[in-house]
Amino acid sequence: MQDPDLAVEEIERRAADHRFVSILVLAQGETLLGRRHFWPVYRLAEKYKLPLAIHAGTQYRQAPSSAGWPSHRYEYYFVEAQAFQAQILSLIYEGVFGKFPNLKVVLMESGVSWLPAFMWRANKTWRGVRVEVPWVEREPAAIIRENFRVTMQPFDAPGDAKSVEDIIDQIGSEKMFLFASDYPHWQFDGDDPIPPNLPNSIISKMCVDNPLETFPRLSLAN
Amino acid sequence: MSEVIDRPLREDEKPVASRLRIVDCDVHPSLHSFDDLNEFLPKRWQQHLKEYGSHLRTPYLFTTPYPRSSPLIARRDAWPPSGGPPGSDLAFMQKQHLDPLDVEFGILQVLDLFIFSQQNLEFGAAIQRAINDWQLAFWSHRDPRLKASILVGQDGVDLAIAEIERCAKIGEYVQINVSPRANEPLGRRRYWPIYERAQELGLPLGIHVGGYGGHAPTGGGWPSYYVEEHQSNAHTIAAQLASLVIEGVPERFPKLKFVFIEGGFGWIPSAVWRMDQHFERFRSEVPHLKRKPSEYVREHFWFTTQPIDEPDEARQLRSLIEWVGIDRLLFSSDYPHWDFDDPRFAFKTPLTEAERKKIFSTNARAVYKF
Amino acid sequence: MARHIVASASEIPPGGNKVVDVDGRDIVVFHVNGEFFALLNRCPHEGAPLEKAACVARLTSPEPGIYQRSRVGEMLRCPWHGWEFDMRNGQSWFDPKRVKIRSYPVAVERGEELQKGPYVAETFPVHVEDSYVIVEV
Repeated sequence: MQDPDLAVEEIERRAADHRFVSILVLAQGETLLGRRHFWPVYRLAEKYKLPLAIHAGTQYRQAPSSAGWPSHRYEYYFVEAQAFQAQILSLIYEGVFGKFPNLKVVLMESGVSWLPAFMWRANKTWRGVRVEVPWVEREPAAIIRENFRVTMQPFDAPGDAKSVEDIIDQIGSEKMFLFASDYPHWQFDGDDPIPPNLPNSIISKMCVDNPLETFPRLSLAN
Repeated sequence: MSEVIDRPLREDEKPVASRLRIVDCDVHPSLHSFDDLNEFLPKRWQQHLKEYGSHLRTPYLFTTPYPRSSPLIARRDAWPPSGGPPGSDLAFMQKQHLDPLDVEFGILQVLDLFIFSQQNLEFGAAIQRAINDWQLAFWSHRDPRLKASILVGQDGVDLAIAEIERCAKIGEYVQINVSPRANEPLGRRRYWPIYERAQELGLPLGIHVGGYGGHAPTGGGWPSYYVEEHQSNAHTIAAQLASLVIEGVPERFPKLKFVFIEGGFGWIPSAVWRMDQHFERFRSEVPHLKRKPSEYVREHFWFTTQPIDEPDEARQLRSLIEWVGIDRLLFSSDYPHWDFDDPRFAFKTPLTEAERKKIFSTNARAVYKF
Repeated sequence: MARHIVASASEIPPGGNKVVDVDGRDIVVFHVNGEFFALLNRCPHEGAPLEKAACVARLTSPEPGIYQRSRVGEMLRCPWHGWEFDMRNGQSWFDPKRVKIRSYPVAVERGEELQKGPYVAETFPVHVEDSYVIVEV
């Protein structure tokens, strides 16, 4: 994404090959992903049904969080979830989904349990400050539920089943969830990569239905 | 939006009859003009302020990188009839806020001049000292309900310690305030002498959102709009919580208390779950941590409630409060700023009388010891 | 519903408002673009006094970066959290069906008509030759 023109060239070159199913970018690049100079990439993403996959990772162009440079990897890993949140806001408020309403964005290795409170705060702030961005005509949570998908590893779950159920309920859209193992990385959740206490109702959706809906080229690849 | 107010006030909601007796942990007094500081500021620094102004890690001299929703980020009804900016007139603050809402104690949080973030550390220290004196002379001594905070800039650790010593001798301050956006994350060792002294003095560390430490407001870079930047305040607080916990500050200073102000509290449960979930995996990187992060959070950190979260349903706010733990929450209004919370209507979920008492009063009284 | 005379029409200048007490309700009457609107003087969110709201335009945008104003002065922006409401019906911009300010019918009538009654104006002298703002509560 350092050079959107070259990115566009590469997407065009690969678009006919259905073995490619998404466009992969980092959560922390040089600038936030909503910025207009990236829009040619999103135009093609929408056109070729390639979701934009944002994966944890950084180019270290700026501090991993507004607090500055952390001492430990552990802290870095913790604040990474915030970068995803900033990317969601950037994509929404710059107006990307008004321009490209069918664009899907997949958050990969972002954590999941922060979604409800993040959406509440986004809605609240939008209600009061939306005059700054009047092109965003729906509440951010509605856009998130429609245009964003999230991989379920790590989940950052509360310890008890009731709370996990509450989180799933608060997120409010079962079609957002995608199974992921993170294999072979060391953060890999082990032999049972399905987060504990997930309601049965979402497991088959997140393992089969949702991925096929999110990555339409999976069906085309055969 | 669980409750919408479209009815006349009930008796118990009417201002004078409310008898809320609240502790408001975030009240913003404001300078009427820089001249207010003249009696507390040496001539050299008065001159410096006039000639050079603020030197911050932002592009503008006396304003912020984003226009922020309303003039001076204030409630439109908070401009004093006497003139001057919102929060600059004690009589009006009493009439509009302290009296009708029955504020028993209000904790002053001064943000003028971004005093924590001044890059010229000596100038910053002079302004902090002047503001600390001004809080007593203009506010606490005129209305004893209003409690002052010792403002210091943590990037000049020696200057900060000297100011803490000076104010501690005066004995009227209830906390030490540092910036959430300084040159380095708050857990880093260079800041530990401040924590050591705070612990000895039994003063909580107050950390109010805002300021510009020079790092982008998000880990993805500088956003275009205030609507994005506003939400990044909570991120900063979460990152500072992680820094303090993971660097082992509560382990090292077991009696120290931290109050995070104006970060809200919706983000806390998932932040703590995330820290806990990854603790096992990263344990060998941080052998100085003897306990799970959630245990440190539960003992050492308090959070003010504003801006309150507004889930779609009342029961969701209820779950949130239970996840955070009612003992960790301190009510704050943020008067006179635009995202103010009214203690009568902000909590859109039923609270028992005992719970209300904790959030609106006794939790804060225990932290601040009054 | 009773009809209350709350002001003489000339008393509220264009762009201004007047707060009146009608049956224990704080009601604010706005005068914008030649019309009068009456609303409960409390934001349905946290109760902010709407007499202090900014009277703004309806703000829309065909695409990012473009700001279009219409119906200038007819939208209220709450003095606290910036929620926007339509003065005509009290509906909020972000959720018009569920979140609204209670609004009341308003009429402007000549004093000579009003003298025929019925109306409620215990403390309000009505002159035949003037016009008056009537709120139905």
